[in-house]
Order: sequence, then structure tokens, then C-alpha cells
Amino acid sequence: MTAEAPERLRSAPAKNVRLWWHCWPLTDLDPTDFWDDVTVQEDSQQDSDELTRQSTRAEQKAKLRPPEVFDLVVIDDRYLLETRVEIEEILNSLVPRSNRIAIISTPESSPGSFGLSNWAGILANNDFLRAFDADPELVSGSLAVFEQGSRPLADIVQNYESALTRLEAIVHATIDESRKPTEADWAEQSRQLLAVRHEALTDRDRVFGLMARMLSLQNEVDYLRTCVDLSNHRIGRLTDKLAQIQLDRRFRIGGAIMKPATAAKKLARGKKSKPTKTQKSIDK
Amino acid sequence: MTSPPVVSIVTPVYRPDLAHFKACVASVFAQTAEDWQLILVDDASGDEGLSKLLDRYALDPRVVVHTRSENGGIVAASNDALKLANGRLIAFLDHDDVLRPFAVEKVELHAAANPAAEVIYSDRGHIDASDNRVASNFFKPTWSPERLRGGMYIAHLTVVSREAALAVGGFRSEFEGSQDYDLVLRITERGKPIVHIPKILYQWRATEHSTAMNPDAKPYAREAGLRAVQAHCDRVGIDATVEQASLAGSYVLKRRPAPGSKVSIIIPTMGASAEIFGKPRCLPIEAVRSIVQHEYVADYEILVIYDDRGDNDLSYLDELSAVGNGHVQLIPFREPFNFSKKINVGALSATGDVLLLLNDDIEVVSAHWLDHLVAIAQEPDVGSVGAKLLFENDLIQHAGLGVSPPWAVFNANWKSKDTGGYFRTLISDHEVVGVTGACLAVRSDVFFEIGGFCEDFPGAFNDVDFSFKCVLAGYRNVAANSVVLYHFESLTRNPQISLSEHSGLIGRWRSMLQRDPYLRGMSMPAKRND
Repeated sequence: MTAEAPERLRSAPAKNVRLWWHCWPLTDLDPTDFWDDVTVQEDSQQDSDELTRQSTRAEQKAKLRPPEVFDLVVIDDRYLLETRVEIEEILNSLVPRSNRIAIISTPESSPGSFGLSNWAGILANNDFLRAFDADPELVSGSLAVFEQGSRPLADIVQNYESALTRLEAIVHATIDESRKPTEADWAEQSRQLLAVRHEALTDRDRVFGLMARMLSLQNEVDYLRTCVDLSNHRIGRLTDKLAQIQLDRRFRIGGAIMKPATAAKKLARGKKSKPTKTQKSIDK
Repeated sequence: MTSPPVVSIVTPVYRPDLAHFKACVASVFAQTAEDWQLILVDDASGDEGLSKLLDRYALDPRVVVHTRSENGGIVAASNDALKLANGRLIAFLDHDDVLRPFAVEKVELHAAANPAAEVIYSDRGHIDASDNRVASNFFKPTWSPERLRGGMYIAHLTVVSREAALAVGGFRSEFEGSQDYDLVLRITERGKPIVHIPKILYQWRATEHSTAMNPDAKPYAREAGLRAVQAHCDRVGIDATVEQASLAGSYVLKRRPAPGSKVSIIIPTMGASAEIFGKPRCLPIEAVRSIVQHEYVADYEILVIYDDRGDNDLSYLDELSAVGNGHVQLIPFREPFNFSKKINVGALSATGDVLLLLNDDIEVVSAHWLDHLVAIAQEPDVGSVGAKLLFENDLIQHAGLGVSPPWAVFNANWKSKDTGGYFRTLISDHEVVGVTGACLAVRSDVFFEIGGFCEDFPGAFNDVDFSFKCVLAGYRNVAANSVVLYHFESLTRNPQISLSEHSGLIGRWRSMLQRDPYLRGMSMPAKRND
């Protein structure tokens, strides 16, 4: 199985780099090593086909005896399946081959990955420390370069603290940036606020509309009440007047005179009226 | 009399026409109410005939006669009368005028219904030397403080609380000629109720030397009136300079807004063009140009709410912004036509404490228009404020809205711009039921309190509805007719009024469309001239 070649490799300034590539293919438990003299041009992107061809040549070269020392050893553990003990054994065999080792790994939470911090621990036991001046970011976010050499503890701690501070600053800035609303967010919020205020405005208008209608209705009710009062007042006056008339002596005398005539009229009306159909059916 | 009367009628007397004086006193004796008091103060007339008359009148226990030993002027005589009166209310009667027979009765009725009132006034009629009715009757508006500042409209019949008159120090000699005007202004500042009796209770006799016939008859009175109004403004904190109006006896206030004021001028526009004064113009551009060419006390921003339908020409906006000199903010409106909604959108984006709604088809005439309108709008009890608007031909397009049931109409539509109108309504500021939205100033908090413009009136009557809402909320609307703009009315709007808008107005405001408390007695056009 051919190892997955990197798309872009930025290495030491040397034009010709003797590279030892150690990686674990997907299905083959045996790791595949290959070595090659890779010509790397700064700021250029290696053609992946060219790198694949180089890898193929490397496989052929692997059958030949490899050289003893390399400028850079690259360990790609993205398909790692070995245990820590076996890894230590492999590393022990690779450490003498170069004073610079690059680890390509995946985040420690990913399955099948040994993890950069674990590598760093093992490499530290072999006097390999993180080279912060190397910038492997353009190759891979999970690539770290370790260089061999003894340094005072204070320098080591200072280097790590500086890196940590830089990382923390980046993290905080990223968090702050993510909290800030974007221009689009502001525009949307403004639109929503405007809509809410507009709705409140129209609601108030409707309240006043209802108040106006209530006032009109109240006026109409008051007017009708006045009409009713006037009518009742008029009725009362007429009733009093009628009562006075009825109590008047002339009215009573006139009534007595008219009584026989009235009675005769009623009698006549009674004889003339015939039962209606309805009355007949009721009677039945 | 065993108990003090309700009304004491005070009449300073100085060398009157005896026939007219007899008619004056006879009108008091003819009152239907009997518990009145009449105070006659002769200001040393030196007239024997008058003295005999006064002696005869003094025989009635209800009449108090006092003769001054030396002439002190009307103010001294009036103050003497004030001291002699013991009624709760003081009615002023000139020595040649006449009261209607039910005047005292009506005053007592309204005083009983409004016991806290400190000023009561009625409508008035005019008679000549022969007791014939002359000129128009003056059917006065309900209490109108702005109108009072423009002239003593409540004169004849004026009744004041005796306690209030004494509390403010009575009449002041430095305002001789307008001493009653000064007194009434000071009493109204106390903030107590002012009551209007909508009946003619007083007949003002118009003779050659009276101001009833000729306002220029007493120039010293005009000057005293001006000082009285200025003193009133100074007392109540109105920052204004008072000037004589074009007609004698009327005054105009040139107001200034509060320091730090900011006004948002909202101009909805479609970007239309028209020929005005014989020349083509882009209406919103020229409207903005006429605004920015003047200096104002108030700070201002101009919010132009322009139609953006996607297919209309917006090329005028660049020139509009340039002409606006940094004051213009452009706000697109992408919805179907709704004038009310455009106004509301503008108001929601405004930052001023006063909003000034302005049509795009206007042109400023009065240089101090903005400050004056803003200053009036800033009064705490004022709702909407409008201006006098003229057509292109200088005839009046708007001088306040009135009610001619069941319509709301433009007052004085199509009248000459120089006319004084019904008892000076067209030359000084006065209260009205409403003003047009073509030029309307209102405080921002009032605008939002009453719900802005009703969007159910997309084209017509939205300003009428807004004005009525101000009244319902307890504010008074003012037509600031001392300020003039051109309004090239209806050049850019559809003159059609939708049935739904009309029925909507009547449905909402039936009670307001029954009568007009301010523009009484005026003939109105039968229909609103939209």
C-alpha cells in the first residue's frame, strides 16, 4: 500500500532533504517505511502525482539498504494501531536516524491516534523537544517538529509558556470574535426591533380607535337616555293631565250621559260580530 | 339684600352718552335673575345730568354708586369698583353697552356647575348707536389659551372670580387701555377652569370712537395689549417676542424652542416632479432646499422616506442628499402605498424630541417657521401644531381643520392669504380640532403615546384621525397661522377618497364630527376640499 503523501511539505531551508517517512497504512498491520531524497522548493506546492511517483520510487529504494542518517524523520500516526510499548520500540529505532523528527497526528480525541502530547512525552525521554520556531501549520494543523538537544529547564519552560500564551490569546480572540454579532446579525436585530416597535405603535392606535368608538357609543347612549327621560316626563305630564280631566265634574257628568249610548254601541257590536274560523275550530 | 350676591357688575363711568348709559343700566335692571349687584363708579365726569341719574339709581339697594373726587382713569375707577363689590363673581360692563336679560341667570347657572372656575365668558353681539344689530355676532371658541395670547377674544362678557382678581393685584395702571386683558391673562395663569357660555349675553355698542367699530380708535390700548402679552409670556416661561399683527388689536408671538431641541423632519416622497411657478421642479429636492436655506435655533434632521419599488427612478436621491447639506437621511419604503405607514416608519427611525411631518410638495415662506412650530409643540398640553398653507396662487389652502358635520374640512379654504378671517382667526395662532398632515409638528412622546398614524387610513383622513386622537388624549391642537408655507396641494396624490376610509372616519369619530368647539359661527364648505 502506498503511503498517503502530503500535499505540501515545508521543511528545512535545504534544497535537498533526505526524508524518512514512517506511516501506518489502513489495512496493513505492518508499517511501511520509505525513504527518499525529496527535492523541496520553498513556497511551492508539490505536485501530488509527483510525490506519489517519488513514493513509488521510495518503495523500490526501500528494498535497498537505507542510509543511516536523515535530515528529517516524519512519523504519521493517523492510522496507528500499535500499543504504546511497540511505539516506543519503533521510536527507539528511528531516534538515531535524525536529530529532527516531525510527527503528523490527529487530535487526541480521535480513535486510532496516539496523540501529539503522548509523542512529545516519549520524545522528551530521548531529549527531543518541541521546535516552536518551525511553522508546520501550512502542512498540517496536527504536525509538530521536535529537535534533539539539551536545553536548560528554564528555557524549555519559557518556550512552552510563550507558546501557551500565544495559543491562549488566539483562543480568547476567537471566543470574543464568535460572541460579537456580525453586521448581518445587527441588521437582523434592528429589523426585528423595528418590527416590534411598529407593532406596539399600531396596537396603541387600535386602543385609541376603540376608545373613540366607546365615546361615540356613550354619547349615543346618553342621547337616548335623554330622549327616554324627556318622553317619560312628557308621559307623566299627560298622565297627570288625563287624571285631572277624569276627576273633573264635567267629565264625569258627560261620561254618565254617554254611558247608555256607549252601552248600546257595545251591544250592537256584540250582535254584529261573528265567530272567526279559528274560534270555530277552537270551539270544536 | 341679606346675603351677598353671586354676581357684582362693575361699570366705570366717564362722560357717557346719557341715552346709552340709561340703556346700559336698564339692561341690568331687566335681568331675569334678581340677586345681582351693580357698582357704578363715576371717574369725576363733572356731568350734572349724570350725577342726577346716579343718585336715582343709588336708591335701589342693589346699586352702589361711588363718585371719585378726581379723574384717575379707567384703571383707578375699575379698582375702586372692585373694592366695593361683594359678589363672588365680577362681571365687566362698559357704560354704553347692554346685557341680554338672561345674562346674570346664565352666569349663575354655569358658575354653580363649575364652582372652581375663575373666568367665565360668553359670546357677544354688536349694536350701533341706535340699538340696531350691526356686524357679525362673535360666537367664541371654547377655552383657547393660544388664541388669548393673540388677542382679548373673551372680552364682553367677561366674568372673573373676585377672589382671583384681588389675589393677582387687581387692574394695573401701566396697562391702561388693555387693563382687563392684563387682568385676565394673570388670572388664567393660575390654572383654574375657564368656562365658556355658548350664548350671546352681551351687546357691544359700536360707535365712532369705540374699538368695537374701529380697532385703531385707541392706539394706546393696542400698545398696552402688546406689553400685557409680552409680560404674560415672560411670566409663564414662553420664550417669544410679541409683535403687532397685521390687524390692530391682534398680536403674533415669534417663539423660540427650548435650548438643545432637536426636530426630525419626516418627508414621505415618491420623487415626483411638477411645474411650479412656471418652472419644472423635483418636488422633494426643492422642499429640502427651502428648508436648509434658513437658520434655526433647533437642531434638525430630515428623514426622507422614499418609494423603492425596484422599477422606479431613484436618480433624484443623490441630488436630494447633496442639497440636504448633511441633514438628510434616506429611508427606503418597499411596500404598497400607505402614507400612514410611511410616516410611522419615519417616526420609528427619528431621533428628535419633536417630529415635523412634511409633504414633499411644500416650500417654506416664513423663515422662523421651524422654531415657532417646534416651540408650540413643546408645550406640555399641546398635541399637533400646523401652519398656514397657501396654494401656488397665494390663496389659503389650509389654516386649521374644522368640523362641518359630518365632515372634517379645511378652514378658510380658498380665501385670500391676507384676510383676517372670522374675528382674526387667520392671522394669529389659535386652537383647532385638527391640522393637516402636510405640515404637522408633534412631540415624539405624544406621537407614540397615541399610536402614530392609523394605517387603516392609507391615503386620506389620517391627519384628521391623528388630530382627533390628540384631543381624545387631552391635548389641544394649534393652527399656527402666523407661520406660512406653500403647499402645492394634490399635485402628486390621488384625489379619490376611498369609501372605506370615509366610513372608517365616521365609524371611529362620530362623536367628534357632531360639532366644532373652536370654529363656531363660521360658514364652512360643504365638503372637505381634498
